[in-house]
Amino acid sequence: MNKIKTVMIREFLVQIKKWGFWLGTLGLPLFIVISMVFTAWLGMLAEGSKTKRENEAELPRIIGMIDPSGLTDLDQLNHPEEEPEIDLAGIPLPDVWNEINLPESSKHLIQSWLRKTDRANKTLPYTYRAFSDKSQAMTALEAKEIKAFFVIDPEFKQNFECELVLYNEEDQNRVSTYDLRKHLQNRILGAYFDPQQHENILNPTKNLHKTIAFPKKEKEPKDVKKIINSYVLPIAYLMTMMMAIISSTDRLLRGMVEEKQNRVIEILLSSVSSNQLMAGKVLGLGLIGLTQLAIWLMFLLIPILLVVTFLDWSVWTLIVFLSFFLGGYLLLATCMLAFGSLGRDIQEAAQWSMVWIFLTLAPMFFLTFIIENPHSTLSQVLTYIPFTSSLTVIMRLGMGEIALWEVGLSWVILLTTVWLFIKFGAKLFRMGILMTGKAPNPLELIRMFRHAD
Amino acid sequence: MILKVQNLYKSFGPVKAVQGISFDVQRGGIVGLLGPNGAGKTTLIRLIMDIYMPDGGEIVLSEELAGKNRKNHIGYLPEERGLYTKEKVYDTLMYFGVLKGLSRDQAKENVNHFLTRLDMDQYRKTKLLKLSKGNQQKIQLISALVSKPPLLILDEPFSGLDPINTRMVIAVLHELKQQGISIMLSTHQMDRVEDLCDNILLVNKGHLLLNGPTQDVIQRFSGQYWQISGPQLPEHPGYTIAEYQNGLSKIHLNAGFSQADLLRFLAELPEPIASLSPFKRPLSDIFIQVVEEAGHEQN
Repeated sequence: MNKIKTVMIREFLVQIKKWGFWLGTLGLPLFIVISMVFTAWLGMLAEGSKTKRENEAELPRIIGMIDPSGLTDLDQLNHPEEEPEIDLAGIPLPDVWNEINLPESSKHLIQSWLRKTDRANKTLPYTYRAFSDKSQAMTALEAKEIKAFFVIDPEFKQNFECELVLYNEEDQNRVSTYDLRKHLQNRILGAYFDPQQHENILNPTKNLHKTIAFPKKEKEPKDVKKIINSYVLPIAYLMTMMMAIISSTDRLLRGMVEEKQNRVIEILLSSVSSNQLMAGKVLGLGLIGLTQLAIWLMFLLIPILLVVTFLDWSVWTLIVFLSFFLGGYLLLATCMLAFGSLGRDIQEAAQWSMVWIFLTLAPMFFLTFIIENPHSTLSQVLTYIPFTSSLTVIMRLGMGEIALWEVGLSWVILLTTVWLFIKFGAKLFRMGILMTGKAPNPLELIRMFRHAD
Repeated sequence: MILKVQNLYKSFGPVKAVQGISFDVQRGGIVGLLGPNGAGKTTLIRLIMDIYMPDGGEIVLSEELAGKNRKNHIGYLPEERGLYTKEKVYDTLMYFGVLKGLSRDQAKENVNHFLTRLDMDQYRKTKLLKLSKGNQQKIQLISALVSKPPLLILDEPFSGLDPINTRMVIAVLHELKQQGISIMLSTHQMDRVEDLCDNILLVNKGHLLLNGPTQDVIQRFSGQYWQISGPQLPEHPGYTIAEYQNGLSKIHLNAGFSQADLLRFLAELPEPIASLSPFKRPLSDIFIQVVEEAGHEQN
């Protein structure tokens, strides 16, 4: 055990003394932060240029109005803040939101957001000016005195026909109809109904009581947080894992290839067994991974706390996340080291070891399926296959669709596999690190493995 | 006896690297492991070092050395040298010392001792890549000695050393021998083997061809060789004249012609000889003869 510790500490110290470690560890979050700031800055630039474009537009923010029906009141229209607010609760949500069976409170939030977005289309208030006929308005539009004009049909109260005439195609999405729509709704409702009835008319089913006669027992309504969790957790896991494994194993593989090339490995094997050497290197790598994770957590503490709070992650979630991160990391590191030892140089070592990264990524191909069917046979099987278990457990954990015993069993299988792979990998490692010349093909590898100790 | 190898076998697929080798290493002795390139010496050493597992046979260490920490008791200098070239001398040696099971204090003491003994103390803070090949070789040797193991296996310890450093290393090896440390030495420098080794092992194609005390082996292979000073000897079917120089003839007795026959023949010569003595053959001659004979037998 002491020898494993000695190798582990050396691997750890050698790595963290290298500037490349700090560049990778500090550089990655810094790169993410800089990318985010840069993207935001580009967005602001684009927004600024958009506002600037609008401000500098030749067309003034004046909308013409031809209303032979006499329904509109321009004084009122030019003071939209005085108009009674229209409750848009009755506006149907886009299908995608209904599909995920949102709770009512969330629907209201989204509707409120849609209303704000609709209103936000008009960043600056318009001034409405009356015109007696279309040719007069068209002349004003041609002379760029107005931005656009509405034509309300004389029989609007019956046929609800109206027209919006724009200067050119570019203005199609730049003229909001929100104020006019709100104004017309109020005017029509005011013309026919008592103001107290307005809300009932706009949302006649607001008191609708839903009764489920034959509720489905198996499929419970989906929760938005669960949906978000089921994507955020595995993506966070994958990003962290890939960042950690790629940056640290690359250096460890380089060190190992160097030891192989300069034959230090033979001296090491005269002092420690290949099992001990392998275990020490893997644990050293694990320590490096945890150090990186800790540094990244410190860097991104505030965003992480926000996400954790928003998504209601429990301590349990974090423990399982960290446990499977470490287990998955150790398994991946073991395989990468064992197979990487077969390479003559860092390129060959990387080729041998990259296979395992793809294997770990496999559950991502079934992401939607696992989220939709967390208890299916495939999800269960992937939960217990060590290479896919980490990501699958994290996905199901995000959904809250995994039992404690399943997490426990998967974790035990994962750790046992790490231990077995250290032993198995040590055999390969011993064979690989003493091997010189051309790397074996898979058939040669099987044959060599059969003849190995 | 510190090491006993019994009927050892090791193959790599179709290649039979070690085939039924047995020998002992006595405590405090120096054993020379000889053999041509590809004879199986490195495999044999790696088997002893527990780097390879044998297919058959046994490697037994003396009772006090056997057990889990077996590797701690054997120092090893591999033929293919390896050091962490970007690291400092002292750090590298400390790491190897601790890996051999020493405490940090013990490792520090031993590292300091051997750095001073091999005149390398001034390089303790130097990165290995900045050392000359010979000095790197000395550091490599220290890494094998650092735990002061009871058994040392040194593969070509003199390669890359100048005569002064060679003399220093030989002196160190003698000191270690006096301290009771057993040494197994693999080298192609036959004169060093003659000087240093109490016993020799000669392997070829995985077989052990010779095993015994160095002087006995030399004696055995020199038994039919004589050197005679005096007049030039006439041709005779009983012997072959290998060399005649400055009044000294070196002859090899042919089969069927004994030492007594030689004495009778010399006594009957018209001109008497000045002296007669057995001719001690160089180990390199014996090496070549044994390996070639073994090759002919196998063919």
